[in-house]
Amino acid sequence: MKKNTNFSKILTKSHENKWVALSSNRDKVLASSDSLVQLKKKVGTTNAVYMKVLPKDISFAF
Amino acid sequence: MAWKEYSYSNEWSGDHIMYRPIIGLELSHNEEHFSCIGLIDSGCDTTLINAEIADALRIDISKCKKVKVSGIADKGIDSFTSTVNIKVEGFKDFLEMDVIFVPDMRFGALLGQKDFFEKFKVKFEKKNKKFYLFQE
Repeated sequence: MKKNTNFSKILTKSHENKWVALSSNRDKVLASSDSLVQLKKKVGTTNAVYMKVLPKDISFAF
Repeated sequence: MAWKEYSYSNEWSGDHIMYRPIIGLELSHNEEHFSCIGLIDSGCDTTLINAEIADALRIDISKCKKVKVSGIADKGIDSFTSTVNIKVEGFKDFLEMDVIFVPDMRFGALLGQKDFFEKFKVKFEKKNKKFYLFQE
C-alpha cells in the first residue's frame, strides 16, 4: 500500500501540538486530541497510525 | 536484501514546506502494539519516544531506569529507559531496541544512533527527497 507523505495537505493549524490518528495509508486524519489516551479512546479499534504534530512557526533541532 | 527506498514526508514549517525522513513504525511491548511514525535522527544518541506512548504500551514506568535527556538548550528532562520491539515500515521482523521515553516531547519518536543506526544502514538523498534503509 502506498503511503501518503504529503502531510502539508492534511494537517492544519488546528492539529498543531496535538496527537492525530491517521488512516493506515496516512492520507486522512481520523481524529485528533491533546492526549494520546483520549485519542485512542476516540479511535477505538480502527487501524490508525498515530503522530504528534509539530507547530508550524518553530524551527526544530531534534 | 536490497536497499529499501522511502520518500521524505512534508509538513509546513513557517512559510515553507519542510521535508523530513519520516517512517512508519510498529512498536510492541509484551502483548501491546502501537503504530506511529518516527523521524530518523542521526543527531540523537538513542531512540527517544514520547512518554505518552509508554502508557499506550502499558509499560510500568516505576520499574524503569531513570535517565536525563538534554536537547540543545535545556538542562535535562527526567526520562526513563525501556526495551521495546520495533518493526520498521518495509521490513518484516521486529527488532529489540533500547529506547528512552521522554515526557512532553514535541514529536512521537526519534530514531537515534544506538540500536537504530547500528541495525540499519541509512542513506539520505535530500536533493531527491528520498532516503534508503538496508538491513544485513
